[in-house]
Amino acid sequence: MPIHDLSYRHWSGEWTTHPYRWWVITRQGIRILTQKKRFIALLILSLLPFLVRTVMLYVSNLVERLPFLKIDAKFFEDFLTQQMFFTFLIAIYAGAGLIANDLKVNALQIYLSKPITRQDYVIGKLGVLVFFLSLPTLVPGLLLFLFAVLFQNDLSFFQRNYWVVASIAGYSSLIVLSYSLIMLAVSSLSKSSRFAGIVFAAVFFFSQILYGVLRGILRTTSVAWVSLGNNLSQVGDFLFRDSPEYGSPVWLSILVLLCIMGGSAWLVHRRVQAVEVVK
Amino acid sequence: MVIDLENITVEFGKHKALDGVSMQFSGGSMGLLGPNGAGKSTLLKALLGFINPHAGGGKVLGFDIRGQQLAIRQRVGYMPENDCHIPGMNAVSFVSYAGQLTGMKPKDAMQRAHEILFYVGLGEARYRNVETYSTGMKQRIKLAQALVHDPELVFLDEPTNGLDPKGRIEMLELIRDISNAKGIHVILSSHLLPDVEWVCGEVMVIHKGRRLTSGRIEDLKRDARAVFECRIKGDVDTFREQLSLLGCQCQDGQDGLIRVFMVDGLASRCLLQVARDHNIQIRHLVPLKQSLEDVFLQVIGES
Repeated sequence: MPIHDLSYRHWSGEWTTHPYRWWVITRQGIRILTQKKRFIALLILSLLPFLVRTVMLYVSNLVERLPFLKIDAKFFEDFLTQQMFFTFLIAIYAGAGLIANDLKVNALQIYLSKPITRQDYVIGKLGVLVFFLSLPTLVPGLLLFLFAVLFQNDLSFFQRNYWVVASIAGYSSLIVLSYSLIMLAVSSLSKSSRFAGIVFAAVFFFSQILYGVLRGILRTTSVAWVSLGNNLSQVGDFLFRDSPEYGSPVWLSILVLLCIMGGSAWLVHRRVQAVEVVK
Repeated sequence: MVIDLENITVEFGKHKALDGVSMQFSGGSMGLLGPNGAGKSTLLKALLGFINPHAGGGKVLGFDIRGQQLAIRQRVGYMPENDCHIPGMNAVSFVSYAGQLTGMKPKDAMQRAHEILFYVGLGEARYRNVETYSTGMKQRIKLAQALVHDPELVFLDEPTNGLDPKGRIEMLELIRDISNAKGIHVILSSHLLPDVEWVCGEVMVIHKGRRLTSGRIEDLKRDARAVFECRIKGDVDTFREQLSLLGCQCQDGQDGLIRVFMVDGLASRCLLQVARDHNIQIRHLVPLKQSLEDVFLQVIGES
């Protein structure tokens, strides 16, 4: 009699329901990335501005009327704008290989031969980026606001600035979604994660350079909509009720960002196929 | 009926990859035979719902291939032809992940992954990163991920590609065990006739996107035309020409041997008659036992 049967046995366990199948992909992506020490170091580094601002909040409560420590909506907007640098780095580290590496080793055939749809796959991959990009933006942004309320002796700050919670959520979501979708689209274009990272960086830098050139020629900031970063900043000013930094209308920035995000989503969906048809 | 297809047509631009293919598979093991580019892999991909047929339809395990792809994939395992895996994982994580993608709970999937890896012979190497695996091991792990959720039907696309003779035999034994002893239906796509003959009870021959023949291998062999192997001394061209006029097919073999596929109802006596009429000596004449290769060559030749 064998001690342990190593032969094939039938399985009759319970199945999970389909609507959460994308979460399996997200969970696995998060697990793989959190095993990388460099990535964890980058995440920790991205939280340093949050710590600094938490100290600033605390100090502002102790020492009142310091001119350089004004705690208002701009304080939170500046924090999120500052975090875009880390968001950019994390997007490249976590996102460049998300689809590119799967394309490189033909993993899409494995994924799509299982009972998951292309949408499940894309949402699962998007979930990985949304999770990691929310860590330096949405999560510390909301925590900062919570600390700002808690450090006060009364509720006057909250009564004056309660709408900032929605602004933080909106601006963070816009940053996270636009970075995530663009990164996924770029990652789906190539089998090389390095190439995807370079193209993603090029999209940001090139649009900024283009804006600089156009501004120099036309001597106006109304062409700011050509730059991805400027559009985010412009919408950020609008959400935090700040005066706009550039001359271009806010609706145009929103439209450009929606077009870029929509185009990126369409591109990813089109590129994610179980069968590559060579015509 | 495990698979029931009617007039499936798949087009890539102007090229018809599948041209009105019908297929009935009642269970057991079936080989999809055909030369490279015949449409075998395309047929499997259409069955899985990767490709939407331009015409025709059908059912796999009772589910419609056009509208119920997810239900089909829940019950089917697929071993792709290409080298493929999910990057950054060891074997046990990979197979467990494949199980979770199918809908198994993480704990169940992990337990099952260990069992399956032992079954396919990767038990000792299950904590190694898949990227470090040899070709043979990669074939085995592709089989493992196809079996992890205990499918009712598995599609195996060229499972012995790149394997050494020993590995090939081990893989074929595994497939035969899955089909014969474990009650899992198997569709084996291959251009290697001995592999199909070893494993499968039924076969379907596809060529240029069309189904040429199908049925039980034994029946096909029995129904196939008689084949003779002969060596002659004399004018070979005349001999071949005269046999062609009678409807026979001739193929050159090794060492001057000619393989003659007879027409139904034509006896070996006709060969002798042709030789005598044209002053040709027959030095060697042996009736050949029909192999799947003969059946394959016949139907491909006729097409």
